[in-house]
Amino acid sequence: MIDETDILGRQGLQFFGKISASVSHEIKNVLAIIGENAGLLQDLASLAERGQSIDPERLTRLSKDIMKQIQRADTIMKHLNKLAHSVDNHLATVELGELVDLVTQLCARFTFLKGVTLEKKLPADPVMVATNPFLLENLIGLCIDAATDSAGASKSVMLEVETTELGARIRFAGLKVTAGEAAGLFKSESVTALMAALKAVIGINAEAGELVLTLPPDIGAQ
Amino acid sequence: MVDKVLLVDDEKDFLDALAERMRTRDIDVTKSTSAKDALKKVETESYDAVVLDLLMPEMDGLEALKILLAKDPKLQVILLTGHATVQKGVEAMKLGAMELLEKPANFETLMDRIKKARARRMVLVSQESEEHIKKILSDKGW
Repeated sequence: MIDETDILGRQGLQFFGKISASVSHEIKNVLAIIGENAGLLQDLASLAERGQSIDPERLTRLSKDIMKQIQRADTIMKHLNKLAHSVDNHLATVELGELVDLVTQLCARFTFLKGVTLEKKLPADPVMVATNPFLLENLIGLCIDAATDSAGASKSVMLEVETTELGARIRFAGLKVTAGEAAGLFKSESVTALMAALKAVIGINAEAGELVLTLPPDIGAQ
Repeated sequence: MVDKVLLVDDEKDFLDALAERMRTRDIDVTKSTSAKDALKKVETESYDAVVLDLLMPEMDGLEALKILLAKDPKLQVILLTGHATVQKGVEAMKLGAMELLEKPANFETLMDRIKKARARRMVLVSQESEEHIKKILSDKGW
């Protein structure tokens, strides 16, 4: 018999696998760029050996291009490392804005491939929630997926993190969904299990073109 | 005659670096950052080879490959991808791709495939010309 833990485990692995695949793809792109720039440096060195003069500006630009890609890879790996460490504790107090920022960065490639832009409005003051960080990242990832699949004509989805009287919420605005489509979203057993584990509620307002993920301040509190 | 190549990739930095490197080898390179732009370019220009990224926004490489070959069946398409799978490779070959290379690809291998692409295209073009001449001769009854 499959219980909720199995469902969360399977869903968690799927999420982690999807993000890892995307990150490895991005890293390969970075390596390809570094490889071509290094190859070009080699080509220029060969030309110099044969007596052709090389513009130092060109070498400086190539070196800058390589440094830019190293910086890019470093940022990608920092994000993946943060995600990997989010399984360290089942319950931790996290800043919701930071967590949303991390998930949007990790999902950036998927949204780009869908031709959708993700915009963020993060709070000036920290929004703290005591939660299971990995499960919450997973649920936010699924919300981003659904929101970007349903993006309206502007092809832009705005994520806004807010404090509420009863905890916190993340609004995903800029959607174009019918009431019927909205009713069909988030019915899978994995989403249901994630929402139960996080005591989260997902509401969709088709008229406003908005998806709202509401979270309690503390999933340990009764 | 120099080789004429169309590079298609949404990674602009990759496109710039690869194009610059190819130009040092006297290749005539045109760049496209989207499949849609590449489709427009092949309508107006003829290329010895198209080097196409498999995963791009709006239209992926396999979809673009189908349209490119429908427009010009003699076109030699080399797919370049950061995540080649056996399934994708087989699919690409069935659709008529000349080769599928994984990123980061060896530059000399890519150059070799471009040379081969040009040779294959020339054979196809000369076969087509021969058939065309034969048809004229038979139609005119000479």
